[in-house]
Amino acid sequence: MADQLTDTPAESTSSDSEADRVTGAAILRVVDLEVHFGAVRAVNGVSFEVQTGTAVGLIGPNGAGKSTALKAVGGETRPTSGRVIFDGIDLAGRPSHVAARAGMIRTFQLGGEFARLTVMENLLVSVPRQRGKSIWGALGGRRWWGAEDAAEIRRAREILSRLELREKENDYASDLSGGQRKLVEIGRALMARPKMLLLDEPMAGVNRSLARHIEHALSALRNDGLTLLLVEHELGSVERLCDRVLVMAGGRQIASGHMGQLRSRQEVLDAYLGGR
Amino acid sequence: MAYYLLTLAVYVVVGVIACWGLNLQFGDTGVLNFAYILFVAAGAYTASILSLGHPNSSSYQHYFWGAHMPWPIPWLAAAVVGGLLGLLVGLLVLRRLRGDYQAMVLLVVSIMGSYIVSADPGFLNGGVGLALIPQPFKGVLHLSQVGYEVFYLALALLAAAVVFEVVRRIHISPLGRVLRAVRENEAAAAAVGHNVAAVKLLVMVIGGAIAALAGAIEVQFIAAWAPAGWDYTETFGLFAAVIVGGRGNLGGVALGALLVQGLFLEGTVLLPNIGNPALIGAIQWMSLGALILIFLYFRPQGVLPERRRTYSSDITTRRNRMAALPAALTRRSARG
Ligand SMILES: Nc1ncnc2c1ncn2[C@@H]1O[C@H](COP(=O)(O)OP(=O)(O)OP(=O)(O)O)[C@@H](O)[C@H]1O
Ligand SMILES: [Mg+2]
Repeated sequence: MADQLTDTPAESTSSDSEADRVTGAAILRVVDLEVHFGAVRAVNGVSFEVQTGTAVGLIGPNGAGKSTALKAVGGETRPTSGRVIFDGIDLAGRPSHVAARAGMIRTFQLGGEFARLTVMENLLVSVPRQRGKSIWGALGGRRWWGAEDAAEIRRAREILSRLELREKENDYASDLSGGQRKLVEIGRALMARPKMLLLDEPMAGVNRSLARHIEHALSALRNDGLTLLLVEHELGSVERLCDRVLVMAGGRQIASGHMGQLRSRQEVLDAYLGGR
Repeated sequence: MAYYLLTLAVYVVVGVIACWGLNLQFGDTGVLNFAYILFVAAGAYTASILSLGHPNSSSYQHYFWGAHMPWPIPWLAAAVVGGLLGLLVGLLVLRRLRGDYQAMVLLVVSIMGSYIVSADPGFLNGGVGLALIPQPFKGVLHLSQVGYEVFYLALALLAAAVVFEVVRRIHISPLGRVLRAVRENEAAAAAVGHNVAAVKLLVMVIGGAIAALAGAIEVQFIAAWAPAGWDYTETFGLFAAVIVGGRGNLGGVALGALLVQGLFLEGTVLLPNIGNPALIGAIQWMSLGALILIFLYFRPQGVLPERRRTYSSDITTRRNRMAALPAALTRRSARG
């Protein structure tokens, strides 16, 4: 499964991206991020960096503010204050389509699929700057956009094969299992040619074998040099996938480091035990 | 009878055009434009004042401005005005508000529009409305009444063909996928890079232009236009047609317009006279409401549901499939 996923041209350069991972500059810098909902301080002063080509985990008990932080970074939720500098641009307060066009694609904790679109269409929607997506391009007819679209369909089929979803191509997303929908979202994110993915619990509520499959898929993407910021409760996966882990509790960032070290830290254990 | 059937045919064509525009907004993109009839009215008034001539030329009706323009200028200008109105209303309503509030505000906009026109007799002749609107080429053709109806039906069908081609091209294009994505999940569409407000604005403009064209065709046929004819309830007749026929399916929507607009609303005129004429109207609306409910409960996808789009691995297969369609369709797709 993992072999299939790494079976791309990028594989030969994986040792280069390994080097990048150590020396690369920060593609994302989040500074003093705050998100308040009335009196609730869902995110209460969080700062971190994500180096290009690395995978960073964001963990913490339920209600810690992980999803809210991810939404604020991705633009769906407007931060109360703070800065979100992605690839040199300050995106704080900009809508999510701006973040997406800058190369940062977020997946959803729940219900992120286009239910009554087929799996193939779900993927094609996110192709950026496509000829037939402007009104004039669309009116130009298939002769104008058809060849380009056909190339994207081929690219989508490659991605679907890598995610082992190829035979589901013509199924409506609403007819898939929860885990398959998560995979569709990952495939859709990849169609956007992203620089970075923001993943909100990509393995939650998914049966174990599919969860492992998703983990391998993400691991292959990371090895291809894609930057990942990942919220996840399954700490084993986080440990295997992530170069660095941030721990949030009560809207605050309480620790960061490698998963192996964090397991033994008292404040992390307290947050998890206290938060449940 | 021929005369009546031709009249009905023109109404149905107008209904089909209007429903295709509404389908672009509601069926494809999920925008609940409860002000849709306002755009039909805007087109009708535009075509009226652009064919009636200068306001001073008649003493019995008042309107703020007018000109005498040859066909097709009144129709084209109507489409432009409808598009601009779509832009204006879209900018006011779509950017800040959530979907359900958008629908409410649009309904209010429709009712306000009707009140404004009714209240100011100098603007578009108030509640009485405009009458004696000239018909295209009526004076030069010297046709019999039925002959002219046939001619007008041909003009309307020409417009319908153009509108069909526009909505079809949008429908099959990558843009069409984006519209459906916005309908299915706005947040997800934004998260993969689409400006949802801009997409909705686009369908407000195009749908508004199509609605206005339908209004222009209707008004130059019936030669009169007043606020009573574009009550906000008319919008729900069009929604009913789209829902019954099958939202997201162009053929289905046309069928819905035929059934609801043609048979259901106009056809009831043929029912035996049961005495109170107001009763007929009430029965029409009650049964329309029942029809919408029945479909939403038992067949929400409509008579002809939205088609699942599959992509053959090989483009030539699609060509071959096209060749199997009726000749007219094939020719059209060859041009596209
Ligand atoms: N739109 C909102 N309005 C008001 N409060 C909100 C909103 N969204 C989140 N919250 C609150 O903010 C806090 C953080 O929620 P968030 O969803 O970010 O937690 P989380 O860490 O993702 O939790 P989980 O692991 O359960 O997904 C919670 O107390 C939640 O109730
Ligand atoms: Mg969450």
